[in-house]
Amino acid sequence: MTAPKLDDYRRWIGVWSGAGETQAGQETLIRTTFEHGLDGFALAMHFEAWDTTLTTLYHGVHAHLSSAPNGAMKAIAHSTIHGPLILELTPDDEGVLALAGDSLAGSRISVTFVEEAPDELMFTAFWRPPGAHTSEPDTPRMTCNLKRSPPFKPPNR
Amino acid sequence: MARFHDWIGTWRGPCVLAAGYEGVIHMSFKPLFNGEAILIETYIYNQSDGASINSGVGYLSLDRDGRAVDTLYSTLLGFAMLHEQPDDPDALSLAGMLAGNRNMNVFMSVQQDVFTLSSRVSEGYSGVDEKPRTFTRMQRIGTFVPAEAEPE
Repeated sequence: MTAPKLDDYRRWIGVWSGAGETQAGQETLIRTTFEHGLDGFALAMHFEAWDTTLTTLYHGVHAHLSSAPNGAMKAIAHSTIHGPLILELTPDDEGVLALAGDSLAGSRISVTFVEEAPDELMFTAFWRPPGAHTSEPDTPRMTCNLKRSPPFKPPNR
Repeated sequence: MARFHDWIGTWRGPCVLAAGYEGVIHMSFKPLFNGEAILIETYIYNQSDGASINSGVGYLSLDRDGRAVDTLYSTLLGFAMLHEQPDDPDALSLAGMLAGNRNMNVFMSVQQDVFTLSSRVSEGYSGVDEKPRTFTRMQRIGTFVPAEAEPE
């Protein structure tokens, strides 16, 4: 395991999408963008999980990942479910972005992106209310295989 | 969040920093997720050469009790979560802890389309000291539209 750096994730900049399942078991369509934030001092992430008819936003998150003057990497975020968040980046293998923290209500939140191929990310996330057990192998979680989404090119163009 | 909706937009003005520098501050406020949060981006730079002095980003939203919360990151200060403090209804005062046993407080208010912001970082838990504050009064930025050319 190595201490992650912001530059480790800049290759993810772009648009990612896929179909997955929410923690409650609903089918969901997910769209995530990574982009330069704060003049390059941060990596900005926008995440939306919708129902399959794109009429109900199950969960939206906007976040900025950056490093403090002492080198600690964290993400500030706003979640439509959990409200304001500061999540800590936990050391992990290369190609893994693992964030965890507590909401103001005391829920435990874990978010992980794993680069499984150059244009493929596995996204998993779960949250637990205060006092509940933390993650176990059979813990329900939101999961989705995300693929890089290039702009649509009409055929015969 | 409706009380902050007239903050939406981009603001700029001269500022005096607590450290004694003078610069220009540029702030933008953008609504997120149907207005339930506001993304705040702040850039402070040297007026003479444009060099960056401090950059920050934050999310302003409400906690379950309806009080404002601002999670923020600053290139100079690091990460913090600031919570609303009692103040006048037309102003927002926020305070919270930074790493290194420092506390930060921020005051923001918009009156007659002038955005006033002042902030201070001090050591320890006492917010009462005579340290200088970063202070600015910003105006809303409009898009420059050149005057219509005179007919020849």
